[in-house]
Amino acid sequence: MARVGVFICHCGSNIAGKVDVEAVARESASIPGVAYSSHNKYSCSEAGQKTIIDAIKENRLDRVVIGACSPKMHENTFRNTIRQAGLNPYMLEIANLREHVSWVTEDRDAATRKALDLVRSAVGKVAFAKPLTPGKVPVEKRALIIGGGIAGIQAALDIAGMGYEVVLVEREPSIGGRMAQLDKTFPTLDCSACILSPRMVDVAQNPNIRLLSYSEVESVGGYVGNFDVVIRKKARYVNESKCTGCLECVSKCPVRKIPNEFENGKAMRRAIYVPFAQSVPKVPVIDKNHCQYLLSPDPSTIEVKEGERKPRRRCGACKIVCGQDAIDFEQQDEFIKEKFGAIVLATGFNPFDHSKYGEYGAGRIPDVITALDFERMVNSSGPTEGKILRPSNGEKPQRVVFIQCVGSRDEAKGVPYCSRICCMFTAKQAILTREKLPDAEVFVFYMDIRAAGKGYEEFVRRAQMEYGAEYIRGRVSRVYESDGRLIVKAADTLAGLPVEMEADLVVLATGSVAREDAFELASAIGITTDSYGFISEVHPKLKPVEIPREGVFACGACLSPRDIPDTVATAGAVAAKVGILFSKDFLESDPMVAEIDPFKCAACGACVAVCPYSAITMEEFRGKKFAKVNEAMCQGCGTCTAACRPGAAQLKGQTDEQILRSVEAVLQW
Amino acid sequence: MKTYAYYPGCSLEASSREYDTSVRAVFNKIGIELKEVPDWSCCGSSQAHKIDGDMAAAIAGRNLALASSIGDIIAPCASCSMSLKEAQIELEHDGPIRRVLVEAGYEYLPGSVSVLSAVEAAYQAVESGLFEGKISSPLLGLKVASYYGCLLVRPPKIAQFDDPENPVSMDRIMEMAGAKPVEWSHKVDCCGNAYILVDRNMTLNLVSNILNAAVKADADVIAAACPLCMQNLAERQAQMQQRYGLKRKIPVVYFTQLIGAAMGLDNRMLGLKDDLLKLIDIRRQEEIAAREAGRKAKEAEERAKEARRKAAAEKEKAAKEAKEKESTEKESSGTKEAGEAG
Repeated sequence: MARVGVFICHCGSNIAGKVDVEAVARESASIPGVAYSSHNKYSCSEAGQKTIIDAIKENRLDRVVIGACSPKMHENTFRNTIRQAGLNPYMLEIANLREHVSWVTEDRDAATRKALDLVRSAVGKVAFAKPLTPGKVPVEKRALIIGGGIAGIQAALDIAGMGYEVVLVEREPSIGGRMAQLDKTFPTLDCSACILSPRMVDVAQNPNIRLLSYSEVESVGGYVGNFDVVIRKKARYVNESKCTGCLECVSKCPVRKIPNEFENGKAMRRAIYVPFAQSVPKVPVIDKNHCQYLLSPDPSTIEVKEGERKPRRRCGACKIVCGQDAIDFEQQDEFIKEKFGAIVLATGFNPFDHSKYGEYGAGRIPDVITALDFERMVNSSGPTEGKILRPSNGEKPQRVVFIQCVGSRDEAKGVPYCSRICCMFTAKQAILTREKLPDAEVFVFYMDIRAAGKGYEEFVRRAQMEYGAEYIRGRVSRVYESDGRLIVKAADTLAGLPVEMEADLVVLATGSVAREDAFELASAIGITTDSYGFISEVHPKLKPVEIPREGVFACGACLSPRDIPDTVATAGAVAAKVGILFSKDFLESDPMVAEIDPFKCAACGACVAVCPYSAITMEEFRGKKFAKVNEAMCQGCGTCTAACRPGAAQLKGQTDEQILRSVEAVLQW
Repeated sequence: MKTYAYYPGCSLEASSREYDTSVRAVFNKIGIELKEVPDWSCCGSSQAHKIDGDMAAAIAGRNLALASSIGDIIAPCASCSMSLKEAQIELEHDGPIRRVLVEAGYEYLPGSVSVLSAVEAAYQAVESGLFEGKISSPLLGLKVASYYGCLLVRPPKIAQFDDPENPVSMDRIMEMAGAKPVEWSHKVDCCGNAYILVDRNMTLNLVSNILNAAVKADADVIAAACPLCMQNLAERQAQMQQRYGLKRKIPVVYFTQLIGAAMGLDNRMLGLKDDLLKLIDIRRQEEIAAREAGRKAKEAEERAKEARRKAAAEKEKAAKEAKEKESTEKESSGTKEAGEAG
């Protein structure tokens, strides 16, 4: 006969305020199988735990029910407690008397009745509990980082600095991400490239980091400590080991009019290109959608009819000029299969697409540009070589108007959240404008100024006081062209007056949105996103870089809009978490996994078909077929136990017997 | 033949008769039957929702209940369609308004009707090709400024139609009628609506800005879709010229009047003024002449190109022949020499 101990927790007044805990403890004593029951003000406190340990020893209890808060909160705490008393930690059941009872009702009697029912149910279940032992899985001490922006770069350097191997996968031909596109950074105005480039070079030179640029993650399988990942290395058509980065090929490429993605489409690149001067790796890529050689058929395969002109020779200019023979038109996409212990998501953000703003011309007015366009324009290696010019006629603007909150805090456009960085980069851009064009007027239309950060508020004040940017509080309702200038209509909500002014250049402070393909990536890795497509963390305060899939972490703006300091901080946090994981040689696997009784198994294969983790395979022993669970891969979801008709599949710690007994206990009384 | 419930509203029976007759004529011509909602009453526009939102929804809801036996409603007036749409959203869930209607003996079945403005209905007809073959006298060369005002596409949650800040549906309809929609800045700006009664000065200022923007875009005519806009835009243009800086007068008509003209409908149904009809004709002639001239210029260019090509080919041929001749001569003389040597 089982000897169950029942311990009811007051949780201060959290439970005791609504549940008559003394009555529940008293009544519990008469439940069959219960050898001991008591109540305590704070069971999770050191004193409370000691009471439990003493009671177990004194009364020779062999299993325990604790009526307290949610098992999510303290199940592990109490497992540890009973382990100290010499019991197997899985001989424990928690009755959730707080979240499921006292917090959700005002009715004291009903609360007490339900509390007692839950305790009975837990006693019924724990009576059939069996001791379980966790398995051991080795940890592959190598991290995969997806995304080579500042978040991924920082995480890679930090993890590599601890001595672990890192593979950094970047979709674009070069690492650097959004930060590489920026000119100066707030609030110190140091040049973005100058602080980023050394880190990019560090990544390339670090012996612990393997950089896979122009590559994408195809699939992720496995589990914490042992992820199986397939990476697609897209054909670059340039042999990375032979190329010296002289870029002679780029200068000879005849296809010149392709909008450069790095310049936000505001400058042109060739069909063979490096995105920007400081690219890492400095190995060009051939754009197969524009390369004349790759698009034209092989002349030797074409039949030439009488009287027809012979097809022209294929281009291949880059191949001819390359002194290293690095151009390889025959290259194919390569699939790399590797094992990783941890995965870090650092996939970043996209700027908001302002074509949703019909009131600001929806992208049709050339002199209405986005903040990213402005960053490239004001950058000395950008399309205008650092000159602020009106795109329509190439003249210097006399008046520049900045509009904040475009694609931020605007419910009508589906973006009710604040993008956090726009107030600051607008102040920076206002300063840069006044520096480069001292004669030009600068106006900033804003809703509120959100300058929470070290030196941020002072920076905005500098833009206003020292640089003379005029800040007007109010929304701009319309921007349109008239006689070669722009008309900006707005409300000045401090003066209570409508404003209408002419301008030469309007810069939209476009907010941050999740990458459109983030959801695809999320579902491939088995993680969730919020309603805007940003990756959800486990807990916004206490687990800000952990995501629900164990062994997978996220940092930077793929979690939510954030600036460079916060991105770098979360990247460091991720490195610490990966370090914790890699500091162990083995991980304990959760013993609450499925188990299939080979004697009951009818080998129907239903469980194999439903298992979402492909953890079940069919085995054969002496001519008898049966299904077998790979305990390392099983996540304990229980789908197979529901599908199994003969009842051969059982989830340890949640067996059919236990569940039936716990239901029965509630119904009996 | 598809049948719609037709809700004219008060304006179309009084100040905007030509909107009513032109809507009926145009839809009739493309095979859409409009059945007037029996015993329809005021939609509650402008005033009711300011006083009591529930009352406004109930007043409009009564009309929806009456229409639900016929089908989807076309309400040409922008203000009516907005009131009805708002009430319909309210009535889709079981709330006090639906109960009030039931008490009064009107039953609304959720999901039974959807409310369309005339622009929405016409746009759908364009999309589904109902106008194909019906445009007998296209408005070639006519520069139309499509004016949407506030309520046709806003608030977007209720209107659920077109882009709220840069709508294009009416422009597409005008293109279908052969006209040239102009790009202009004030297509969704406010006309002042009933504020003309409260603050005349402000309203006329707003209207002059709109009209001037259309003039600046070099439009021949403004196409409107709301009786309230029409009143403010079309009336008092002379006064605005004198006191509010309006640069020139510009005709304002309902978009259905222009479609009707493009379909060759009887002007008694459309009520277009003679001046505008003349202008439509002039623009059409100009456009036809311009297209003809363009075509001829292109043909001439093609001919010139062809001639150049021929000349070049002949030249090449001649050169080739000369070369061949030369080489055969050389060859023959070569063999001769060889023979002599042998």
